Amino acid sequence: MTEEQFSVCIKQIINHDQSGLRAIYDAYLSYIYQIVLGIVGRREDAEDVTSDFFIKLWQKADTFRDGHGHKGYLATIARNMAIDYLRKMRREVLDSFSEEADDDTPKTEIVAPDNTEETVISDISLNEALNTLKEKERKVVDMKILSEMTFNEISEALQMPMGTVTWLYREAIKKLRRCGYEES
Amino acid sequence: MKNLETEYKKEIASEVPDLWARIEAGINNLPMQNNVAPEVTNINSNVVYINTNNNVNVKKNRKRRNITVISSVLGAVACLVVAVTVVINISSVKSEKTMNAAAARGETKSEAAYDAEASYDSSDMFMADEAYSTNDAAEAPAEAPASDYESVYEEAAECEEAVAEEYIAEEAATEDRAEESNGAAAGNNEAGAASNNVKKETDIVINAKVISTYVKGEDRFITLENSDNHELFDIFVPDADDFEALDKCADNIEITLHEYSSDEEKTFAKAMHKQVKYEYVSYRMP
Repeated sequence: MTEEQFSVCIKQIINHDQSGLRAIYDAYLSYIYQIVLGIVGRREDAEDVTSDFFIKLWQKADTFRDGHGHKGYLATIARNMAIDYLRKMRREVLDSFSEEADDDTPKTEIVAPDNTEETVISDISLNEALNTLKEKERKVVDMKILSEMTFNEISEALQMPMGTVTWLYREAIKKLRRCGYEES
Repeated sequence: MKNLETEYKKEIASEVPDLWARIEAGINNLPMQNNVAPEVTNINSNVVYINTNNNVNVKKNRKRRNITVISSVLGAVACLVVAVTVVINISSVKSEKTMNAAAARGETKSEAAYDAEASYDSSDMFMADEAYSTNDAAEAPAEAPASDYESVYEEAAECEEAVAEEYIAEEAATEDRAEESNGAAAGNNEAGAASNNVKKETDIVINAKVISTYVKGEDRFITLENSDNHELFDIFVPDADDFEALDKCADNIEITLHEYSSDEEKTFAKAMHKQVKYEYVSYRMP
């Protein structure tokens, strides 16, 4: 969707024309959903936040300013909403983190024969590869790849030191490389 | 090797659920929510109370805020009272100490007067002769008409020449006086090396203490402190032996000084050093 098309859609929304919102929904649902999912983690939560996002866009369409990059505008709103949601749920998330800290093992243990990075295990699906990651590593990878967040933003959202975040990401990338997936 | 980012996003995109029905329902519910506007009751002109479901919470919050404000005001007042008390105590202790110290010293003069005397310091005394002559030259044009600068400068130059001539003449006179007084006042000077100047009508005798000595060019000066009124002043010491003898005096001495009284002598003193009013004649230990 071009900037002009987006501006037209926003004007339609301001005039309470749902077709404008529908056009934006069709174009960016997937994009917004992956950003939100990368942060909140759970699909049910991601669906709630994504729905809220489009409702909020309907309400606050008049705050959009032309010529500032609509995709970045949408991504920023989605990220902020997801982080807000995460903050609301923080206690539960932290509890789950602390509970898992004792048993922070990957769901699927895939070990290379000589346990080296060079050895690539082929024929593994992405889901299986992601399951080799620890919970925290998965979270950081989701935020980095799906939500396109910086390490600084991730460290703030997860309230972790940035060194820990980068270390977790590197560890995850090493594991995924062994499974045949490489960072672009 | 597969691209992680591309694969991951592709997989997520394939799993995106259809949320339009929820969004549409949410949008359609919005105007209904907006229609239910909170009831606003204007109780007085300044405060607007909004009757909402959480009215009880608003009251609680207001009460809490009031308590916080009152407690902070009380705390500030208490701090102020403590600070004022401490300041008053400190100032009273200081004033008592000052009074005690003054009583111990038995000072009859005010401190301000003493400071004024003390400010007669060496920085003024060490003002260069050149600077003094420049000052004289600068004073002259101020008195003269502003347009006649040349004549003013000529007058200043003449004045400087006259001062220099008088200085030379007075120097010769001083030498003569030193020769004349040689041996006459030998009994007075316990140091033995002191000069034997003859006491003149303009001479004065004071009790003083040598504070410091200094030499400007070939002229020797001594800074004395008057033991009676603690006044600091400089004297001109023509004789080198007298100068050395006085330099070694640590105690109070009874010193005879020649006060420059005539105009010629004052001019000579000015040419020598603007602060010097006396010339050393003789001294003796009290």
